[in-house]
Amino acid sequence: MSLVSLVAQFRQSLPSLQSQYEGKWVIFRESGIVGAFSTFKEAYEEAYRRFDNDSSYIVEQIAPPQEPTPITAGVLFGLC
Amino acid sequence: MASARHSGRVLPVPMGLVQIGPVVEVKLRPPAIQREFLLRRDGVSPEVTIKLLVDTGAQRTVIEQVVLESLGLTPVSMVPIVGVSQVPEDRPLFYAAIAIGMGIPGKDAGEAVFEREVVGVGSPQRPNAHQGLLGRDFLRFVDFHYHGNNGTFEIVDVPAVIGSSVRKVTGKPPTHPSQKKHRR
Repeated sequence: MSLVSLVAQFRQSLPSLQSQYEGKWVIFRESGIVGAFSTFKEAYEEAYRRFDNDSSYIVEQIAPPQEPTPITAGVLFGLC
Repeated sequence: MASARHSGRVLPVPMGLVQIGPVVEVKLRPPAIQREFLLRRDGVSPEVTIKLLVDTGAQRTVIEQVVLESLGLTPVSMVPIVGVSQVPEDRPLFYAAIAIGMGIPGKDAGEAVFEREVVGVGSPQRPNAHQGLLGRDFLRFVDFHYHGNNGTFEIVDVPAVIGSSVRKVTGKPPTHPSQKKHRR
């Protein structure tokens, strides 16, 4: 599953995950959540230990959808 | 006690700082857990030296995606970002270590390592003098002094950094009391 598809699946699942995992950082795969942690670092390190860099997972926080990050890189890197 | 700091000077003074900006040379590496694994397995871990522009206008730290991928890093998520066009765009999010050389007046104080999420962005058609931006997610852990009149800048206060996700690696380990010479 591609990164884009995995992120889309996570965003779709987000409302149903909020009551159980609110505020947690989770390892999310095609099969769903495989671990929940207090910090991004903890989640990332566990994901790396278990799955290496195999692109089969994402690390996300269970929180309301984030607003787009304003960034001047849009200008510097030709994104605009 | 003097704080460790990274001092930069952009020539010519003072217009270098105006035209180029506060550019910092950093070492970019995989995060510690990946680095340790690679060192055990291969005996080496990749590292690149790049230049980043300190940018108080950037909420997040961003680096050209090709540079992040050259270290063997893979994205751990995607984040929506928006530039002046106000059109949001999902960009890959990586996890990487950024090491900055630090000094105390008169001597080298090792480096401050900042391990954080970094947004991967496309490379510009015309290469810049820098390969990314150090944003406010980095600046929240340090003091940043901008001296426009003499073309210098400083990133200061590693003690504040140590308490965050950044760790300082000093050039020499501290001397154990039993190793100190006795004075008469």
